[in-house]
Amino acid sequence: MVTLYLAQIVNSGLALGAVYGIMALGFSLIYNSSRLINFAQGELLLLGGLTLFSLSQAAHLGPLTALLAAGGCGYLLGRLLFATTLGLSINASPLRQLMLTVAASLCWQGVAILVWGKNPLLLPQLLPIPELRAGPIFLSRDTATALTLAVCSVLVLSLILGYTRIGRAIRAVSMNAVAARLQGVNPTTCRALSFAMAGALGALAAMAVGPQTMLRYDMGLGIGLKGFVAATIGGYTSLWKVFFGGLALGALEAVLVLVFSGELKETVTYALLILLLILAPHAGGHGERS
Amino acid sequence: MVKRGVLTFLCILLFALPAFAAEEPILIGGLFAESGPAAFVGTPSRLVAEMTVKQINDAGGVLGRPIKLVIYDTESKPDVALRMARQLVESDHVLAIIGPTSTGSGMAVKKYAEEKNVPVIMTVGGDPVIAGGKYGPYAWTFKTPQRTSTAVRKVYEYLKAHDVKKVALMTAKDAFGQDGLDHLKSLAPEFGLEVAAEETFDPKGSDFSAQAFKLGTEKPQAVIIWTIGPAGAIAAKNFASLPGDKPLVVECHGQPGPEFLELAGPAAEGVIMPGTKLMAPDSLPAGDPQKAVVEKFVKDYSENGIQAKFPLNTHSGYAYDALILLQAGLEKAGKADPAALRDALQQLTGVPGVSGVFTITPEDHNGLSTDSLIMLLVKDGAFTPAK
Amino acid sequence: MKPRNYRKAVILFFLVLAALGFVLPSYQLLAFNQHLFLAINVLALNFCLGLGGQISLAQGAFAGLGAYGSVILHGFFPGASPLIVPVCAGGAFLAAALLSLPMERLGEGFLAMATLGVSLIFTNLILTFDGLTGGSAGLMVSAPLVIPGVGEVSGDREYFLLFLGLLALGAYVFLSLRKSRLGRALQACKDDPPAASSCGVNRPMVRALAFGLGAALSALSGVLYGHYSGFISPEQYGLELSLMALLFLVIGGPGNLMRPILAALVLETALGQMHFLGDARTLCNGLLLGAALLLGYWRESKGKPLLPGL
Repeated sequence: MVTLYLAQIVNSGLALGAVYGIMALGFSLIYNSSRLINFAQGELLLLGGLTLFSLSQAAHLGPLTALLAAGGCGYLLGRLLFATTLGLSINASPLRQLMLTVAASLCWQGVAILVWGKNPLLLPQLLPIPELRAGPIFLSRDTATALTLAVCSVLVLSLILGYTRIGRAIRAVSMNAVAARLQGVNPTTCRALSFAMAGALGALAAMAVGPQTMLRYDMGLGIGLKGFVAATIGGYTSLWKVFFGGLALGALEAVLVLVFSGELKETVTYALLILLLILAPHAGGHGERS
Repeated sequence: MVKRGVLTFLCILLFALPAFAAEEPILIGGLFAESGPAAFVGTPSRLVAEMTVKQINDAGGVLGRPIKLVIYDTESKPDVALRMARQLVESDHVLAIIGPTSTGSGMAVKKYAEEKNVPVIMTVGGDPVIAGGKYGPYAWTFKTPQRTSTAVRKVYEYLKAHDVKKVALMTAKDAFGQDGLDHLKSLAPEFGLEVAAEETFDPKGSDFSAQAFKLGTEKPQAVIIWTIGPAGAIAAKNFASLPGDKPLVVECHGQPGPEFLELAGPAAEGVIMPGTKLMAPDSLPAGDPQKAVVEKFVKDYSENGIQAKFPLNTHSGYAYDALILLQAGLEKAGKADPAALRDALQQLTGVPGVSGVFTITPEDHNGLSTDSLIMLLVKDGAFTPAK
Repeated sequence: MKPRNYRKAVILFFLVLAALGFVLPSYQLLAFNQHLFLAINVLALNFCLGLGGQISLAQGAFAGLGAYGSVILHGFFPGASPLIVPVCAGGAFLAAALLSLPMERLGEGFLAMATLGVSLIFTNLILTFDGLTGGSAGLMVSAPLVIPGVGEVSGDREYFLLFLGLLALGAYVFLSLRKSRLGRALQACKDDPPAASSCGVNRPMVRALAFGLGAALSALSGVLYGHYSGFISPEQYGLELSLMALLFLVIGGPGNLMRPILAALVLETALGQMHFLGDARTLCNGLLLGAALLLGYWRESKGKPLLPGL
């Protein structure tokens, strides 16, 4: 019985955590480069997914074309988000930039309503990833897709950030924008690029989330919030940590449901999060900015 | 000369006025959630309401007068719903109101309507609007969707007939799910059912396998899932992927619709749920009083282009029913007066609507019994009447 | 503007508002009162963000604390308003101050996250204890607010006066606080936290005080609003209220008294009138708010006032 419970914690934890983790990656990319909490992260997923939906209706998408289409659409959406929020207010106070992403999320929802209507749409499974069952361990197609996409994204992003010139520039900007500029790096380009990468991640996440929950204009905030929590647990410092933050959040929720009940799940999760923030050394803000 | 012309004109106008007044439209307020989270239910309701009003007017209106619908958007917020309800009554001077869409908005409007004596026919799912007791009086408030308790009784009747003794409950953490949980728990003993376990979930979540597993460990014969939207299909998928013996999955009356089938896919097979006869129009016997109404509604729904934007589901007919009740009430009352309309609505018997045959009494402001629902079984990717 | 002229402008603003309240028909006053409720929350947030430089996404929760606290307590002790209202405000003050103490050192993003957590926890607690709070179905308000010597409060005009009075009181406290020793300490914490500490400012205490004052003001507005609307539900005091309050404060500029309030009143009225747009409404709301934010930014960066005197 105990093994079954433990297996279920793994199953449910992965099912929830894979989605949280892939959302959290996008958050941390933007937060690291721009010190900005992107309230429109959920809408990147939404519009990326809806565009993919239209493309899949118009033409048959093979797995590879689907991945490329998702990456491409997401990249453009990310650039668009940057151009309409941070790009317009590069010298504004961080709060104003934060609120601009809130306004952007409303605009994007409005676009989703106008173009795709208010009814939820089901994005078909575009990747041929099978469900996995090994004894008591079970991963549904959606979970397996989310995990595969997340792990591949982390690998690719780590390579880009670690070994390419532009990746090193992005990391330099996230450590110290002024010093980076003195070394000839253009912080604005780097930030735009991190938005674009976050957009691509959002569209990839939609490939896992869309078939699981359908895509509807108001889904952004709910799914974005959990990603935000997961990124905070992960600490924003490295992509792997952020991704594992998502898995940890999923596992925590599964444990809370299985051991206690679903009733207090959210309360305990957020209380633990606040506690974690207060106790964590990295969360102190003073000096970080100045 | 000009003066005289004006005078003549005024005289003509004066004589003509009574003739105009006789055809002055009856003003009805419409409150629908057209933005915000409930818009996917509110917008089709508005379209259905406009379609129905046009049909009524084309057929000669009510009491010889056309109906005019004044529509406002509640933004899915109780505060805005109240604001718009007051604007309808105090500025537009409507006779009665249909809507709003969600239970929270309904409660906010109801409080005001009861104080101002305005008849309101709501299209909200939750029972509290017409429950009385701690939720306040409901002398002027009516609602067209089946009560939660009616749907629960329908489910329990079915389970009892199929020798189910032990059930588990899984309800959403919102007003709809909470309402369901209350009735599911309180009515279980009446049908000889034992509630083995209960769990709640966030209806916006993406996976409920932990809840499903936990309920499964209690070995219930059936598990009842109470929620609106994609969460119902996700839960069905989660139960389908449990290892070993699986309980019978029962969904609530908010689920029937193409989205459930689409999203749940193979996991939908064998799931049963109560639904209105709208979901299986072909199965109605020839003598059914609703047959003609339902078939005409389904036809009009697609001919007016609503089907293309919002595929027919179990919520589609509520606004239609509200207007049909209003029409029947006005004709029974014989005059466009709020108090007379309210009294007439309370005495309506056997009005066939899309959701059922309404028989309203001063105690029962819904008027639908368990007969208005049928149990549906998902078989080969389609809804069929369950045996 | 000179201080004396500024005071005159503020007084004039409140007189205009009061006059509006007596001119508008009753049903439009309802919308006006709802906007005033939001404006009070914007002002409340201004205490911790504008004066102390600390973001908070928990304002809705504190308003909800006031509303639920007052409605539930009035259910048990009808007519005991003179006791219940201070208890609600004081409770919110204490809760907020105690929460703020450990959170004080958090950086901006993390503080936003933590206060967001507070807001979500509040909503979930309301849902969990549905025996007492009615859960997500909401709670009908059974007992009215009673002012000793005046009697039961009811009607749009009466509540309008209370909302306006509370806004004026909040504005007065805000202005006096800004000029006081405490206000300057807060300003120091905002500008350079380590320097403020080294000058002997007890940073956690000072900020907890500002946080608490804001929460108490929010709670008072919640008390009024709960009894006024006659029905309370968790969605009215959720994250959306907090976000809107923050949005309007940022549009108007934190630390400024009148501009955020004006932004809230004007923009909320405009947003409420957009139903003729149909499906394009959500998009236009977003565009309007975005434009307001950018307008404020360009005005700031040019250093010119947008409107004379503001």
